[in-house]
This record gives sequence, structure tokens and C-alpha cells, in this order.
Amino acid sequence: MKILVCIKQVADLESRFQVASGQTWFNETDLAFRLNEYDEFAVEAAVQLKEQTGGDLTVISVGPARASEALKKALAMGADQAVHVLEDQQLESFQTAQVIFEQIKAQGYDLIFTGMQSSDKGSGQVGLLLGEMLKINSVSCVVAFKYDGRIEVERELEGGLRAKLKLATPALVTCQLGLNQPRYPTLPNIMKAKKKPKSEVTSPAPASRLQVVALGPPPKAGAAELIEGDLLAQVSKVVAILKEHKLA
Amino acid sequence: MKALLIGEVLRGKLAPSLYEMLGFASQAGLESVVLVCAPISTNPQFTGKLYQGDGGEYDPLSHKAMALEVIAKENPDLVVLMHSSYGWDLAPRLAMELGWGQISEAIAFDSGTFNQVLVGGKLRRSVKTVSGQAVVTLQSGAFSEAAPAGSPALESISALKGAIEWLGYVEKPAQDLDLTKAQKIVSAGRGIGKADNLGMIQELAQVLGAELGASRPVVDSGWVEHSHQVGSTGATVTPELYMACGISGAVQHLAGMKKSELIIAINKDKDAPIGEVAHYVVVADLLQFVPALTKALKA
Ligand SMILES: Cc1cc2nc3c(=O)[nH]c(=O)nc-3n(C[C@H](O)[C@H](O)[C@H](O)COP(=O)(O)OP(=O)(O)OC[C@H]3O[C@@H](n4cnc5c(N)ncnc54)[C@H](O)[C@@H]3O)c2cc1C
Repeated sequence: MKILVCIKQVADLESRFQVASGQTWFNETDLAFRLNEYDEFAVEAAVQLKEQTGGDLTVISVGPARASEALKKALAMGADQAVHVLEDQQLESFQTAQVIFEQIKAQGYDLIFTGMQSSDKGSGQVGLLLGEMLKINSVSCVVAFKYDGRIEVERELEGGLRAKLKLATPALVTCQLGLNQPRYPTLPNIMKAKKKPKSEVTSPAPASRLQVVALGPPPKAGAAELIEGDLLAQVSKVVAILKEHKLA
Repeated sequence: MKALLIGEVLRGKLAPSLYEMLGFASQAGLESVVLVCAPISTNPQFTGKLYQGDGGEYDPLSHKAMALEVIAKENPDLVVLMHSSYGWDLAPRLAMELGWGQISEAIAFDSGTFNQVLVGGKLRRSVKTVSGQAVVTLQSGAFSEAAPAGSPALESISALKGAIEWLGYVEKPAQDLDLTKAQKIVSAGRGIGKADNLGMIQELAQVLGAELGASRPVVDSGWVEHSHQVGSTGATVTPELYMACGISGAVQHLAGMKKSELIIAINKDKDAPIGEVAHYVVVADLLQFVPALTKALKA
């Protein structure tokens, strides 16, 4: 079985973000980057399937040089080889999906995993677009996954409800938080990952279908009152607020 | 300009979010045509055309085909869905087939551009598609609902069979705790760091007579049961007091608690997006602040 997992490296959301000069993206200097959280579940699901079926697992990422760290993590979690499509521009979902499609269309993957969205943009498009480009079955927002020749998944709906579905391969699933418990790469596996095949390629992106008009911080209107300073003063202030509202 | 609004159906009922889409369309000055792909018990009230399909409730291939059929007849400039499990699944499929750009989870519309949230709420951008035609998904609750009025002209379309087999809905297990009834909630987020630190949040909840709530990662990590989860895939709560300890304020969490009467957040990041809905943000390390507050309340 040939398995693919698509991952993205994203900025840590606890960072402070400053708009970069082009006004379409943020300034990346001094930010910490990590493997997109949703993709951790996708990598784990792909590794588990590889372990179950004895398949071969490729991980692919489109992004600048720094994204190689995310690929290394996926290799250390258990992927067999990595493809890094070097891309310095900030692509929109359609462009990313098209770039991945061009790389993999001739490979005949049986199962493709992606995160359901990236935590920086939250568009939730790349996986489904890729499935449509490949003309294979795809299901988004999967919180349970089983393979027994066909795949059986549970899709998360709102408020705790799920839908159970069955479909044939080849197929693509986008993975939601909580699908599994992503493993931590162990030191021996991190060492082993260093020897696994990695290829770097470039691929021209198609024109974007979106135009960013402006980027900035959210409006401050209605923003909270900050309680800063000394711990004990903060405590008394909160006690006073609770008493004032007759909540304590 | 015309918009095709695609309503969603759950267990034979049309989701009320259709009125948010109608509200958006009227705010944007668009003529509305509505498509509902599965049978519904009661028709929506609006003036315009309603295409009624006879498909299943989730079958992307067949819903895509029905939508394309209606799009070919109606020539809309925009195709609008909610940014929900239904909408975010169908939208890219349509965008791909149409060759249009997709704008995900729009929170506002202003003179031809849509606003979106980036990096978990710390930035916003406004975007439009290059061609002008777009598939758009709307953030739940972002647009005011249109008042139900009028009766649509009906037209039926028929579904083809998709390749995904529907095995049924899976209910969440029966739960002892009903957070929606709680008057006070103290919630733990990923900022508590590890399961061992839940104890201090529980203790604070106890002295306040509050129930324990949680953000999704705390539930996904298995630290507490799903019945404690607040948010779009958990409970929607409106207590008198909501304390968010180490919760960043992702839109899916906010969706479940922003209508609480008094919201106090404890976060070491003063820019955390929870500040958009909180009344107070205590900028502190919760591992120090929470036990100190508990102690003061006990005294
Ligand atoms: C379809 C969908 C549905 C979802 N449904 C839900 C849902 O129902 N409910 C939900 O909660 N999420 C939901 N999510 C997930 C959501 O997007 C966020 O990932 C999640 O809410 C983040 O949880 P958090 O705030 O606890 O963690 P994080 O975002 O990691 O935030 C942790 C916060 O803790 C702070 N912190 C860290 N250490 C400390 C410390 N020592 N002292 C004080 N502060 C500290 C940090 O500054 C940060 O702000 C959903 C996502 C999707 C895509």
C-alpha cells in the first residue's frame, strides 16, 4: 500500500505577529515554527496504517527551507521518505494543492492523509482540493479511522455528533484534532530519520485566485480590561470583581 | 448580482443558519437562490427560488452535482455556504469544479471584500477573488440573520448516487454533566500544561461552586471527559461567570462561551484572542495565580 501524508509548517500561535511590508503576510523573523497541529494527527494516522499494512509512507511539504524541520519530525514519527517542494512565497490553498498534485499525480497513492486545516490560515481547503484534482473519494474532518480493505471513518459534525461512512480506496481523508494520540519521536528514531531519503524539488505555482487587499491586527473595540502587575494585587482585584457581581 | 445559498440538512431539518446566509445576501445587496440537497420537513421563509434535492444528508459527490446543475441554470456570482462540517466539505469541491477562488470562514463583507481571521485571531485580512466570482463559507454567528418572511418558489432536482456509503449518525454517549445548566464555569485550557495541574482548576471551581469546563485539547488528551468541552463541537454555555484558564480563545471555543455574562480570562499572553470576548484578562502564570486566588477565596 502506498501512503502519502501532506504537512505544513506553521508559526507558533503564541507569537506576536507583525504585518510584513508587503501587507499580505506577517514578518517571520524571530518567530518559532512548528508542525501544524492538525498534521500531527495526520502523520500519526498514516504511520499507524503503514504499521498495519506494511505499506510505504511518503511525507510531502510545500514551503521555504525552514519547513525541512517539520519533515524531519514526520520522518522521526515513522514516515519512510520526504519530499520538500521548496517555495518561498506564501501560497493560497488552491496553489498549494496544485503544486502537490503536480508532484504526486503519477504516483498512484492508495491513501492520502492531510490535516483538516492549517492553524495559521484555517481555510480547510488543501486536502479536499487535492482529492478533487486526483478525482478520488475524500472525506473531511475525520475523528475515527479504520482500514480493512475499505476505509471506515467517522466525520465530526457539530455539538458532539458524528457521521459514520465507508468508502473505497484510493481515498483522501483530512484529519481532525483528537483522531489519535500523536507519538513523540524518540531519540533513536530521530537518529534513524537522518538517514531516510529526502528530496528537494521546485515546482512553479499557478496564479493565485485570491487577492489580499489588507492585513492588520483585529480592531480593539470591546477589548478586555487587562489586570497586570503584582500577583497579590491581581488576586484582590479579581476577588473584588467577583464580589461586586455577587459571584463569591 | 446573485448568490446561490446552500442550506444544510440534519435529520430531516433545515439548519437555521440559512437565515444567516440570507442575512449576508441582503446586507450585500444580492439576489438569493437557495439549494437544499436533502428533503426537509418545513420549507424556509424567504422570497426567491428554492431548489429542493432528494439526496442523502451527506454525499459530497451527489451534492456537488446538484449544486453544479443549479449553478448552470442560475449563473450566480457567489456560492455561499456556512463554514460548518457540511459547508467546508462541499465548498472546495465546488470551487475546484468551477475554477473559482474560495474564501473560507468570512466574518464580514464590505464593498466587495471579505474579512477573515488569521493565526488564531491575532491578525485579520481582507480578500477578494481575482475573477470576482467566489465560493464563500461564512463563520457561524458572524452575520445577522434575516427575518423569516415570504414563501419561495419551489423547483425540484434529483440526486445521483455517490461513492461514499452512509452508515448513520453516531450519537455522543449519554452524559451525566450538562454544562449548559451551570451558572458558573471554570475552564481549563492547554495552558495548564499537564493533567496533574487539573487539580488546581478543580479546586478553584469548587470554592466558587462552579462546574469544570475545558477546551478541546484538554479533552482530546484524555484529561477530562467530552461532557466538559465548551465550544462548537462541545457545549454552548451562557453562565453568569466563565473563567478561562490558559485558553487562547480560538473561534471554535469562543462560539461556545462568548455569551457568558462575566468572562474572566487568565493568560500569560496579553494579546491572546480570548481578550476579544473577555471582560477581564488577568495577565499571569495561571500556575501561580489560580492557587493564590483559591486561597484568597477560601479565606
Ligand atoms: C472544527 C473544529 C472544531 C473545534 N471545536 C472546538 C471546541 O468545541 N472547543 C474548543 O475549545 N476548541 C475547539 N477546536 C480547537 C480550537 O481551534 C483550538 O485549537 C483550541 O480551542 C485551543 O485550545 P486552548 O486555548 O486550550 O489551547 P491553546 O490555543 O494552545 O492556548 C493555550 C493558551 O494558554 C496560555 N498559557 C500557556 N501557559 C500558560 C500559563 N502557565 N499561564 C497562563 N496562560 C498560559 C497561552 O498563552 C495560550 O493562550 C475546534 C477546532 C476545529 C477545527
